[in-house]
Amino acid sequence: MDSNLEPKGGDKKSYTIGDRSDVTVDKSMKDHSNDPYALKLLADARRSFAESNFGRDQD
Amino acid sequence: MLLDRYGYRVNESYSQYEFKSEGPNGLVIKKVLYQYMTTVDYVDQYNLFFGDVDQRTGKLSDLSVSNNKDRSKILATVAATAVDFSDHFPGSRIYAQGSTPTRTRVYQMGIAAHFAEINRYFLVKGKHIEKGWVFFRPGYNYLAFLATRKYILFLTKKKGGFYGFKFRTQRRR
Repeated sequence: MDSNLEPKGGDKKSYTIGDRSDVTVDKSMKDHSNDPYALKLLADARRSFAESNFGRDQD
Repeated sequence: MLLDRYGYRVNESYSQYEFKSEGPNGLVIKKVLYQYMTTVDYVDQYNLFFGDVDQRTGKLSDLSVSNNKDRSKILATVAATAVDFSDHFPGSRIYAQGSTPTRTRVYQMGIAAHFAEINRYFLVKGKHIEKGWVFFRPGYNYLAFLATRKYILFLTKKKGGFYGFKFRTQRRR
């Protein structure tokens, strides 16, 4: 198991939603920005959003 | 409000997040990506991708069902990454839809379950099948979601008696 995935912050398991005390910046995280599946879903999201007429039916 | 969520790590550009889900079916690495989608009325919009990392291939999938009985904890963790992302991309908007109607329903249940907390940070809209984009209300069904970070507007006094405005995100707690 990748030991880098161990979050900092000890055994603390409950947080407020904005609590960043356990967050680790990982410079070596694998980049998935060009992952084929992620790109496929991004294309789906763009198409769905374009069809949703956002901005034309706002208050 | 204290939420049960996982600790997570983030890449240097604050656009990719990882955490591990632990449960009876073992350990699953979860990935959250914020992918640039489009710009509407000068607002950059990012798609929220959420899925699993296949530990054999290193590739992403979001159709696997890990059944680790930690759905609420996972959704709370994803919500926390959204707060973190919007801290680093102020003024942006987050778009989310599931890869299947079932997944979209899971997102909807997650937003509804944590709505009081999420509503502190985000203005959430849902795409209603008949009414179009409307403000999110628990108990209604939506096809997709948009979340915009809330800001507080401050009036600041400057030299010479002039006043200015200053925006700040909601204070964390």
